[in-house]
Amino acid sequence: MKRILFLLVIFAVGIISNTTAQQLTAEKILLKVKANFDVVKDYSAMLTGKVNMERLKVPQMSVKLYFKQPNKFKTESKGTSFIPKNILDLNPGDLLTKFDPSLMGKENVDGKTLYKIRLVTKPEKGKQIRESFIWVDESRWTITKLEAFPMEGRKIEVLIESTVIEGKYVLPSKISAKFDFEQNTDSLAEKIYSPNRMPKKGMVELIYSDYQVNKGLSDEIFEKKKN
Amino acid sequence: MLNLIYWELFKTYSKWRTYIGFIAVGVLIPIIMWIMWIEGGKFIQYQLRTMQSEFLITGNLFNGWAIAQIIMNGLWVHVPALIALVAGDQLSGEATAGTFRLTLIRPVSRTKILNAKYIATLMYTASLVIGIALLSIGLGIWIFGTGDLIALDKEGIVILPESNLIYHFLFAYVLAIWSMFVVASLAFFISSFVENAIGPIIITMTIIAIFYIITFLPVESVENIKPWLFTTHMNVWQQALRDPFDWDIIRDSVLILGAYNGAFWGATLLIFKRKDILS
Repeated sequence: MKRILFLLVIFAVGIISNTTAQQLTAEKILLKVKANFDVVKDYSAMLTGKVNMERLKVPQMSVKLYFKQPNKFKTESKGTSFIPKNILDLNPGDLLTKFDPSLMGKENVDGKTLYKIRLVTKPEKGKQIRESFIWVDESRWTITKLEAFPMEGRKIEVLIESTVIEGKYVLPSKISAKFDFEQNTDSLAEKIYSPNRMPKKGMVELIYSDYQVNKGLSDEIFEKKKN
Repeated sequence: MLNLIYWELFKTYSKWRTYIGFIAVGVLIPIIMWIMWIEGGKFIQYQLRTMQSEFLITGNLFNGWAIAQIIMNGLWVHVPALIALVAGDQLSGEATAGTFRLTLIRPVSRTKILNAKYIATLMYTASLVIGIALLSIGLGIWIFGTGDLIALDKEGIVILPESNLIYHFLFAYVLAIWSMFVVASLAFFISSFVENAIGPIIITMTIIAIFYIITFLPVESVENIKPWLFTTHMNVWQQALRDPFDWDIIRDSVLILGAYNGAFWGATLLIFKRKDILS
């Protein structure tokens, strides 16, 4: 009798948890991610990093990054820096407005539960529809991985490590972006030599430091200077 | 010898034609900068257009160093003419003026006189390149500010950090002076044959033009000749704006240009020592 009761409890717990998981839609996950990020009204951080791309040699980067909700970004650097656009585009507040999400499933990676979400760009006149995938960490509701396919043959894989600032704000601490490109070797683009053609493969690593969160950044910082 | 060089330099810099080169670059470089200022760095964006689709590129790449590099690229066809203008006059000018006999009756060997003239010619050449360097870098940085340098070659795009650029450019101008010495030596050599200064200028520029045409001729039959033409190595200065340096290319170019310098100087000496001065 006890055994039957135990099995029933296990079965019931299984059904309840399964139902909860099923109820958790991609939109809800992204709303949790957004809510988690919405507490950060603004921040500034130092971004140091290195670019290790084929056919592109850039010195060590050091960039001051400013962000203000909803989507104001500004970078300042004395030297030259190459920041992958996909990283800056990964603003949790914009995901629901820019993409149509769908939950692909749950994955267990290094003891963490990650939700895999497919993002498809919302139709926009003159723009091709592209898909990308993000993985959301259930424990922190932060994006830990991104796989994007911005153009034919191009694949960008971004790994995001996060840190807790001042005990309450979860923000990226390290971003590694891996670029890959597959092209038909018989294609014209492959055969034509161009010294400034796009680098096909490589890595970009960015490390965030010196976070200043919710210090009330002025809008003037984000205004473009006229040369 | 130093005294001889001093007087040859005095003679060279006393002539009006010596300053034509300086005036030309002094007018041309500010005009190029003005055009660049209006253009507003579109060429930099053009060079980086493929990158801009994937990267947010920050920093001032449209700066004085970039302008100096463009000026170097652009002026390199015209600078030889300015050098030939003076170098071609060194021996033929004396012949035209009829001052050779007066000079050569003095108890100084022909070799010393020729060497003094040759050194003065090389010093003028170096001074013109240094003038271009100072004007283009100084004015460029003053107008456009400073920053990293974007260098494009067959290996791709290299961003040279601002902190090292002074060394890169110093090296580039040293290599540029070395390659311009060949032009000066050629004009000096030709001026030993003739008695008017126009001939050496025209002949020098004609030879350079012919060599350039062969250098850029995409024909297999001349591929074996190309590495031995001085025009193939005249842009060796561009190797200084790379990271890392390709020392094999630099060494080969420096040696071949040096061999031309030596050959032109040796041939001039041979002709000048045997020449019957009649004017």
